[in-house]
Amino acid sequence: MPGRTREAWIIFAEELRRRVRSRWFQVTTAVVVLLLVAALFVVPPLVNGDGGEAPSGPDPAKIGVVDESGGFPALGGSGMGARAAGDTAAGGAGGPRLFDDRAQGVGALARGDIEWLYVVPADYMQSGQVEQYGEFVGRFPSNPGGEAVFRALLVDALLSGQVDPSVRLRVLDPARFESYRVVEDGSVAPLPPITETVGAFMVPLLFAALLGLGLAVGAGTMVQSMSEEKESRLVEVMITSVSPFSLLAGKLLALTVAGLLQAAVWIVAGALILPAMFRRISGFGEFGISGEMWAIIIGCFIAGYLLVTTLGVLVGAVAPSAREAGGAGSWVTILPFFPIWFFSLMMASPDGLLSRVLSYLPLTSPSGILARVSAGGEMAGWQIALSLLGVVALSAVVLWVATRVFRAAILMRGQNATAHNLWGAFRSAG
Amino acid sequence: MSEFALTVEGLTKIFGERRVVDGVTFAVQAGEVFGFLGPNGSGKTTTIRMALDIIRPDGGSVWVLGSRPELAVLRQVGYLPEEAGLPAKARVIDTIRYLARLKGLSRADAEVRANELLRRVNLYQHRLKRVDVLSQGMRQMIQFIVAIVHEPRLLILDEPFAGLDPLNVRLMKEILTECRQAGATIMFSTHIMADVEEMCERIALISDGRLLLFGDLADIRRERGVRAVQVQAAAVPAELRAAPQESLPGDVIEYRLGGGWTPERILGSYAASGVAVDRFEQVRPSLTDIFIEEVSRARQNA
Repeated sequence: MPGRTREAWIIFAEELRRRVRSRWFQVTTAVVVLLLVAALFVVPPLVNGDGGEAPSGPDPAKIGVVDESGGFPALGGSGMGARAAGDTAAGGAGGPRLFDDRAQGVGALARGDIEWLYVVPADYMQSGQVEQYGEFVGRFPSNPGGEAVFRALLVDALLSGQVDPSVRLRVLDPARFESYRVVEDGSVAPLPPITETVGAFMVPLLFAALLGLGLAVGAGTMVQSMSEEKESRLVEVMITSVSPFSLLAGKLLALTVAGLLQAAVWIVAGALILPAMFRRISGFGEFGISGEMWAIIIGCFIAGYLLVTTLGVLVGAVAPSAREAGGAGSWVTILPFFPIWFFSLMMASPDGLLSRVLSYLPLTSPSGILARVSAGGEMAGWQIALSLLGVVALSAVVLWVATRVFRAAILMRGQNATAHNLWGAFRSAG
Repeated sequence: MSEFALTVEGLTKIFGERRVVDGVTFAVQAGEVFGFLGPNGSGKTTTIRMALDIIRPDGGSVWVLGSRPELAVLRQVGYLPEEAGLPAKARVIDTIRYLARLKGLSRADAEVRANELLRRVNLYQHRLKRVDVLSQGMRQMIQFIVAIVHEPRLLILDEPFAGLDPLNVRLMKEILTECRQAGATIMFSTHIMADVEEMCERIALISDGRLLLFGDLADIRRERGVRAVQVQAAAVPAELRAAPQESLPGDVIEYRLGGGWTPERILGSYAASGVAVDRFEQVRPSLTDIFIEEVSRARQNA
């Protein structure tokens, strides 16, 4: 094995071994897997509701009604409402509970017998106003679910006996949409099933977030490793044995591979857990991630880790101490999160200027591409490849600069960081 | 093979306005043990760093093992920095093996040498511990192992005995002697003059970046002449009671020379008075005396 390659390989193997053995690496790897496992059990019940059905507002039996207008006997007599036994309130099985007056209803509300109380005043038919009583918790109290349920009860009661039952049914459920997309050539195609749509949205977004997390951890580790080594005398021993390029290239590859190993664990866990999670959500059915999507995800992860780790090398090489490196390094760790922060804007305009900048700018493109794809943006394969190629090219340039800066920083030990000294050290660092 | 393992000529380093090393010239002969002396902040470490191409000089030149200090040559050099330079969180055995491999040893050789040297310095039982849990002295011994693990032709040690207990100092000296017997050249800096007198044939002394002394230690001491004589005898002749003297343990009197008092006159007095002399020894200045004298004079002249 040629000298430089052998040196870089030895450094790579040692750094990778140290990194993979570090507790921080193992904890961050495991935490994401555990969160995915937790999501498998937590998300489906949350989405499905307790009964496994889509949420549709409060149980009508938990709604109380006081009809002062006397115009809604059907609320209590049509099976939707009936008087309850044992108290003065009334209500049908499964329907709203009727109360004689407001005081009784409020009392039931206070006891927790009902959750919401609606009082239909005597002039309801003229005013349309309904009084609503409830706990109204939260900073911006509202009750859209309960209101929708009671509105449907009122419509049902108003139409009862007034129109043909089939008309009544259509008034209550007037339209079930089937959507079709018309494309530029005039052809018409049905919209993709919801499984596919949610998958196309969630999968890249989830992996963009994972990439952001992984890159932040990876960059932080690289910055710390570099600055600590530079600050200690270890670097003096090292550079009497290996070239700065071999040293940095070995470290860079090790941390990139370590990051990708971590990402691979997350990706495999995601590939196993996400379909299982979606299968447990009612009406979602089978869910898969296409080969094309996997290619994009893997490409973004490799390019992203390469660039961010290289930037970590540069920051570690430039910073005079570990403390200062930490401050500067935080900027590197923030970059991958930009597309996540601006995701709502990308959603509004998936192929707009911001989306294009974030998906083509090498500093943000690895997570930017995933976020844009998630938002529904259209990027051809060659555009994605070109963008990622830009990331790799920038990484190579940054590594070259970092190598010289690293050597220059060592050469400058004990000297003031004047422009003249910096330039002199940079030139002689080759 | 070059006659000199290390040569520095007119070596100069300027930090800001200060000439930290100012035209220093000396050469370390192949196979010798060379002492590099100087007070704190005199430029010793900066000179060593320039010799190893860790930093570049502003003037002058360096030759290591007959060549410019490039990586291929520096891999044949063992370096022990003034402060321990070891990865804190790594295990002892991994650290030695790793740094040995970077010096060119195969994995198997690195393993064998690391274990062999750990046994030699009685740290084998600590080989699986992390470096940062070891004491300062232990870390220094590990650093020493790293410096010699690849059997270098030239060993440059910056304050190697600092932080070591007397047992480890003795052990390190034994190993250094073995390295020398195996053909290595050794150059070390230290503040402990007794170590230099014990181990070195030749020295260089620098202060404030300038070379004050360079050469054979015995010659340097001889050039400074005899300062006193020590006499061990049962009594003091009457003539010598007026001579400047100091009583030392074991019936030894040290007479300072000068003012008409010469070794011949003192010895003659004993012979004339009939007092039997058990031991008569000329006292040359110690290296500590020379160090203090030279550095003080240089600072007064500066």
